[in-house]
Amino acid sequence: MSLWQDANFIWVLTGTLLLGVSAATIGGMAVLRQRALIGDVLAHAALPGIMMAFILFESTQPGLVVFSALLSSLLGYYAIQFLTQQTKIKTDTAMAVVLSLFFAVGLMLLSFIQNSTMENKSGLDKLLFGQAAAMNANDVNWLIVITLLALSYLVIVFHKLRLISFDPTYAQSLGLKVKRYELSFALVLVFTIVIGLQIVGVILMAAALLIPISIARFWSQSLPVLLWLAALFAMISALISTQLSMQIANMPTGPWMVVILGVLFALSWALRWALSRGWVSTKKHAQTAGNQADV
Amino acid sequence: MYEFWILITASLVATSCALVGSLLILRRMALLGDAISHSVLLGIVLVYLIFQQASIAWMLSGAVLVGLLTAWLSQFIHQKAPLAKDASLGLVFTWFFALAIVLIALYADHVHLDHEHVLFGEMAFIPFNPLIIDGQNFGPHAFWLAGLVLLINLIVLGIGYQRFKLTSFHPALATSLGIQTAVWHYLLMTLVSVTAVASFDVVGSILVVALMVIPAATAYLLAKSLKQIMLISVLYAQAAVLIGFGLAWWLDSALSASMAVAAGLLLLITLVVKTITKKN
Amino acid sequence: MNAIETQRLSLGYNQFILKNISIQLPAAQRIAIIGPNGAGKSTFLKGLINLLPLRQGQVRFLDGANPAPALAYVPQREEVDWDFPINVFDVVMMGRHGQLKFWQRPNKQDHDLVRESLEKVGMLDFASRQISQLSGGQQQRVFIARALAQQAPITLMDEPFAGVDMTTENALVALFAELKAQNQTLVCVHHDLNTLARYFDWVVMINGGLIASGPIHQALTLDNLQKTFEGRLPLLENLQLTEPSL
Repeated sequence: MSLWQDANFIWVLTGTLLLGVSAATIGGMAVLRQRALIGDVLAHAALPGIMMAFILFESTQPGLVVFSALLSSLLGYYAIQFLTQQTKIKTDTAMAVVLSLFFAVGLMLLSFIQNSTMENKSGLDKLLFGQAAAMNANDVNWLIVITLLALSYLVIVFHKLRLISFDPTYAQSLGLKVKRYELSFALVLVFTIVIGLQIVGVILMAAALLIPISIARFWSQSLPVLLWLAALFAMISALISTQLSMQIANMPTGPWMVVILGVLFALSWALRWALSRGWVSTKKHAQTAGNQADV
Repeated sequence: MYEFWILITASLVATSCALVGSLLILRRMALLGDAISHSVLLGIVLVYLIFQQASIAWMLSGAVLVGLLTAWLSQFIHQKAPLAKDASLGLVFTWFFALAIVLIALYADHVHLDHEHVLFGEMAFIPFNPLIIDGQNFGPHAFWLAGLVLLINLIVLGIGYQRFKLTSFHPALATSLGIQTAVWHYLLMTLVSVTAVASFDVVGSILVVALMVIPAATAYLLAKSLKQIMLISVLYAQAAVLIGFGLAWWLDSALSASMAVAAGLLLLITLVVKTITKKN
Repeated sequence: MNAIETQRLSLGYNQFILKNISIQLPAAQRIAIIGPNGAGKSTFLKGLINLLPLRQGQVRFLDGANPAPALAYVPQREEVDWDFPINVFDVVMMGRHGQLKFWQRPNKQDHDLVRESLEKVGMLDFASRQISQLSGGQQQRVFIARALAQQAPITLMDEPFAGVDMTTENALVALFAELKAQNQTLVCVHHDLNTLARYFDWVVMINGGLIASGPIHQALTLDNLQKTFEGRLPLLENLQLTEPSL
């Protein structure tokens, strides 16, 4: 209970909850576009940018981290496009190549930094598995700003994004600038990933993007409801994993968050299955599910 | 001797990776390879926890079990739950990997692994962990594991070459000829899993996929047959090991990451050379 | 008045699939595009609404009306993921989003138009149904309602009758007649030669290029059919039996 009186804990928790919500909703839209693993690639691709920026400026200032990560993720995004469009390499191979290559460059630079005499390098390895507890107020402020931007973007262009996800050819036939929406969405996705790196880490960021919406799909068929539910599940896992991460020394946040999300997925699936078999026959459940579908 | 053991072990591992990687990219399963190389960690950790030690046989079987479970479970979830293929794959492997990391953190006293090992492998320590039987030193443990796995790969790929070729290029035809495509699919997944285990000590859990897909993708740009793809990707893999070794020595960076980066540099050079020669 | 007029139109993805199509299609007609598989029928529709990377030549709509009219488009049903979490009403509302800027929300008029379009295809009762729960024919009717909601003078449909039940087929035929009466132009990729003359007024035959275009009773000749299908038409003899107008 003493945790709740700790101002730092409240800060960290705020940050984690915000991130969980934006990753779950923005990631949810990516999953519906059948692009669940693009977030995985972009998260891995962010690493070399952050390391390069550190070597050049010897700083882990949030603004610098966000900017450099953004640059290198976008480079990764275009590398996939280049490989698939200009060579005969197929999409899945291109994704695996970019993911592993960028990550390797990042790790190589990280090991170079660790073996060097540079200062302030302690936080860098936390980016791999995430350590919410290592965040400070400045980081959280950045997180709040970017999360709010990402969520307002989603709210404003929600209808167009849904249209493009469902039927891109038709969207184009309506005269919508599909390419522009896709690029803007990729940018927002990268922003979300980049701010998530400190909390969830590079390696498991994909899970924070795709598992919440996957759980939600057991409970609703309406996209707005799905996104709300995904956000809710993300918040539950954020709450628990942050507590664990702060109470146990050296416990990374990211893996815990993912383990909890996975458990929620399994529980939801089991409950849905039991409901469909009539094993758990509380009418209330069926009704809420039905109501949600109508929203 | 020290450098020799590192190079020879890395070279064996890279050869195995290049061979299975060639089939993975032809079957458009590069991401499944990525997933298995992540989730195999859970198998390794569980074996450590349950048996308190890592004998080669237990490690291999633990990893194969988890590897096959990854392939099967992601397919199962995709079929039974409202989830796209890539989403169910992402769900399974991130969950397995996260669970492994959590177990490592919780039982750090019992598991002789840490995050560094998972990320970078322990290539520099290969020579310090010898295989000792009856008090006699037979050279590094990792070397024998890598050798064994390469042997398994060569035997299985050698025997099943025609079948792998047919099921990769034309699965529908293979099925119509009465070939059990699923059997060959899971056999390949088994090879990917054992290869990932052998690579674990050398390059860590995550960079395995770099050695699997990058040389194979490079070879894919040049080769005209499956045999050529395999051959060229093995050559590229050897070159990546050597160049990576040099890079690591020059920059004082991690060996495993440097080798993966070297593979990437070779891909880049190949692309550039190909574009130039095409224009002339 | 011509609804669609093309001059030396060539279309394709990496290379041209259709070449040098010069054609004039009259307004307020039901127009069918026929041809063998891979002849470029869908390519032609997509090219008209600029969905293709390769396009040469000129296209004019409604005698060059200014501003150029929007075209409604009904893609093939297989092109979308029917497990997508969305209901019928929201799919039809998509037809209104071409006119809305990205920050704008649909107003009452848009809602009324959507209901009206659903009514026309007999799907109003299904408005809040999830699309994953629809039959093939119902899916098709939803797509057509979406095109109606666009209120475009010209509608392009890619195989509207493919895989639909008889109820839907009859409903669509009635709807086509109604649209024609309202001076709307319909251009459909069509497969079934047996129903061609009953459902449509005008036929365009293509196979890599234009073979023939004209009113059904003039253009639908044995000679043209053979040129279009190049002997890949096993039902030709049956067709002559069922189409005495030939």
